[in-house]
Amino acid sequence: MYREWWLNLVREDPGHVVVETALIAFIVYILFFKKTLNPKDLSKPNLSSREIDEIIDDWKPEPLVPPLTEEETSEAESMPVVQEFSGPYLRVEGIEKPLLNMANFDFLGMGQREELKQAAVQALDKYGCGSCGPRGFYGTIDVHTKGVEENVQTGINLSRSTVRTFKHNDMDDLERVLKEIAAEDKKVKRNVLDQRRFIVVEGLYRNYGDLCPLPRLLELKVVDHQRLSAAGYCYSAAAPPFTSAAASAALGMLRAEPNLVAALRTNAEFLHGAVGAIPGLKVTSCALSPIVHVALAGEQEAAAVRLVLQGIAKRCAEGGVALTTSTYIPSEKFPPPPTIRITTNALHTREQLEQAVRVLAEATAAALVPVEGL
Amino acid sequence: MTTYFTFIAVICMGHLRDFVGKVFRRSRYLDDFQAKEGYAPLFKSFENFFTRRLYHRIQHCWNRPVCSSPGAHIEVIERESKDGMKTLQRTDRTKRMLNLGSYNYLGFADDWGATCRSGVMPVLDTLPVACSINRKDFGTTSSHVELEQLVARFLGKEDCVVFNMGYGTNATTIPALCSAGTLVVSDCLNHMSIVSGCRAAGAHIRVFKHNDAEDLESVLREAIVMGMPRTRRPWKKVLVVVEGIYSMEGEVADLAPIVKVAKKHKAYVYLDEAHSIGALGKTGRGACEYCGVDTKDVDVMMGTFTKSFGGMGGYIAGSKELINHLRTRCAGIVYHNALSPVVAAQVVTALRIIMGEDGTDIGATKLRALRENSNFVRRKLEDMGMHVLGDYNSPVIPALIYVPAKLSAFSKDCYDRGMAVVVVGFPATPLLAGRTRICISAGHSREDLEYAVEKLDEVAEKCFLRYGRNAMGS
Repeated sequence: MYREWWLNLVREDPGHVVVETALIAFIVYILFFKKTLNPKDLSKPNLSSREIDEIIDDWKPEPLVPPLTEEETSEAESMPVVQEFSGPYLRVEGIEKPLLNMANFDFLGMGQREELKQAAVQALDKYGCGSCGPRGFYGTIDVHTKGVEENVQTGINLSRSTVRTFKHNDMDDLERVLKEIAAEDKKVKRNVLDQRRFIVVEGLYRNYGDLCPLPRLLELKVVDHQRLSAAGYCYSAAAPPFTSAAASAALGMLRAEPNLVAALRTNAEFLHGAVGAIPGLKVTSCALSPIVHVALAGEQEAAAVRLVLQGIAKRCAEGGVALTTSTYIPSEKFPPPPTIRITTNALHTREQLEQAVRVLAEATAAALVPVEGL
Repeated sequence: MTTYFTFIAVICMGHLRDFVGKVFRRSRYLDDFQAKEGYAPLFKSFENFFTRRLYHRIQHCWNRPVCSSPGAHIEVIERESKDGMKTLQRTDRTKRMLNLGSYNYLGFADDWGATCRSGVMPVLDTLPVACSINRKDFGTTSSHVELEQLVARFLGKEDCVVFNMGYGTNATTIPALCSAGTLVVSDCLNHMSIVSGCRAAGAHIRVFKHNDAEDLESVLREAIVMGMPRTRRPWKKVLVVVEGIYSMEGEVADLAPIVKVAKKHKAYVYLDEAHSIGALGKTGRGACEYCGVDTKDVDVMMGTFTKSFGGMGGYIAGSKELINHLRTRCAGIVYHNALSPVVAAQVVTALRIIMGEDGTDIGATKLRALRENSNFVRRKLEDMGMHVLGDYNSPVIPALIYVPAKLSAFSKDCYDRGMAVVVVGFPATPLLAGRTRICISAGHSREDLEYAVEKLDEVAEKCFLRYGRNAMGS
């Protein structure tokens, strides 16, 4: 019966039968034979287990970490250990004389204030130390919600966005980048509203000591999305309640004592002027910044400059002033130029700042002699 | 299957309400529909939709604010919503509840005043609440040095470095160890922080079946033979990343065979003991001790201080070279501010107690209590017929709920019975495998746990969670 049916089909419409047979054959081919033609599989060698073992035996992986230079090893093993913070001074292990603290970012000198410590002690007594859970899971303690930094570039990388960079703080360059994007929009006929765009800047750049021109930028607020999608919030334990209590106390103190900010500003401006007057140095940060970045005047190779600056910092420590050189990790895409970083805070008196500038000037003069001699 | 139906129903309903809201211009989300003139909307529509119509409906299960220490009992601040669950407002009322949600494994949050206070408070006499600077630049205090030496000794490693954030420990250490040309072989259920770290590192990533040493072996063999994709050059190095306890599964790593396979194939082992350190093993030394693996065979030992130690931050312990490398080249150390000296002192004190160096047996008693409490609750939940995940001796006990509506109901029913439990849904778990997670503490008394088991039995009955008996859970 089937035979008749087939013959009938062929007789009535032979073209149809040919096309359909070809299609069926093609499907069968895709299903059963195509796999062996997959280029990935073709290149996979068919090795015996012994051959694989031999390859593995031959393979020599690199060490887990690349060897460190002597300089780096000594940097890692001889970090200064602070034993005590007392006012604007630090007691450092192995150094008898206390050092004037011109290194940390406690700009308003709040970290050691008695009020702050009391707030921390009270919170510790009430809540213990840790929060024992992420914010979503009973890690939200009432004190968290009373007060509110992270590596921006890594964050941008992880968001898998298309990244365009503009020259640091250069609004004209930003405008150029934005125009390029607009031109591209036109080219690919992309609606401006189809792509979400963020301009990411920092308020005060730690590695440069300058401010972003905020009036020319916009501010965006993103609270609920942050709660649900930000990895740090969902997957990381909440900050200990005592730190939030201390932060709230600090905010309260800031509101109550606006003169702290004025004192900081006066100190920053004085330091900026006084350091800029030291021969051989040039200040690269802006006058309002409590972080003063100092580079060597004149163009020199970065690695050599770094060594000179480290020498200056070391001499300053010997002279009783704790300041630091800017640090970055090797994988940084846009490493900042080498600088000395001097911070001031509201606790510093004019005499202390003058003293620090004197030590820095002497250290610079001593360090620059051999370089110029070369 | 029902889980799919629930999602479809909720999504359809949500779209319908969006449509009605747009047509009649009356909706509590009206503001969201009207994007600012000239700007692309901040959220793509589905993300926004998920937040509005799915998350907001059941958001009362999360972010519950508390106003006490995270001990065996906590004071939860009651909340109410006046706009149909779009936002929640706090009330003045609080409710005392049995805490089955915090990572307070060893109960240091319960007896903090008696155990840790005397070690922590004196630090504030000489050191500030925070260092406000990174480690190298005068951010290292004697408190940090003491902690690092103690952790290294506790784990039998040469050296150790501490970070101020647990998540950041993984997210910055992995990029410091790996680069293009490095292969990371990661357990498929590894924590988000590890995934972030691997992505940021730009390394190649392969995953192997959860806790399956055989699959790891075949992945490693194939990867080493094939080399890098396209160029076929040999890998620079291979790093196997596993966790001690998987926090969403409650499972303990099958460490011994995994380490053996990794060693055989010259791969380095990175062990994340965020949940297992201090909670697992006879003396609290984590997954290595529990599985009988020598810590010398684990190249990078990572852990956190947030859980058993009642602190914050994390550590990496390993060889001298490794730690020096991280101290000078890891963003988490070079850029991030140093851990608070107060927290460092807290962890030192807790660790001394666990190691018995305080001259008491408090540490040993806590460890034993944690183990007994965990196994008691796990057995009872299994007896109830719930789908319990994980292994005995693990203080993390997840039970599958699946359906999002049941997540919400379970959380609310437990809340009404005075139990603070964690329910976990998307994005922390697969969309279809919502679950509850019960965290046991040494601070729980037997009466607490008996109460919990009795009430959980009621809730399991009410919410149809006895999946062990039939698929409908009835």
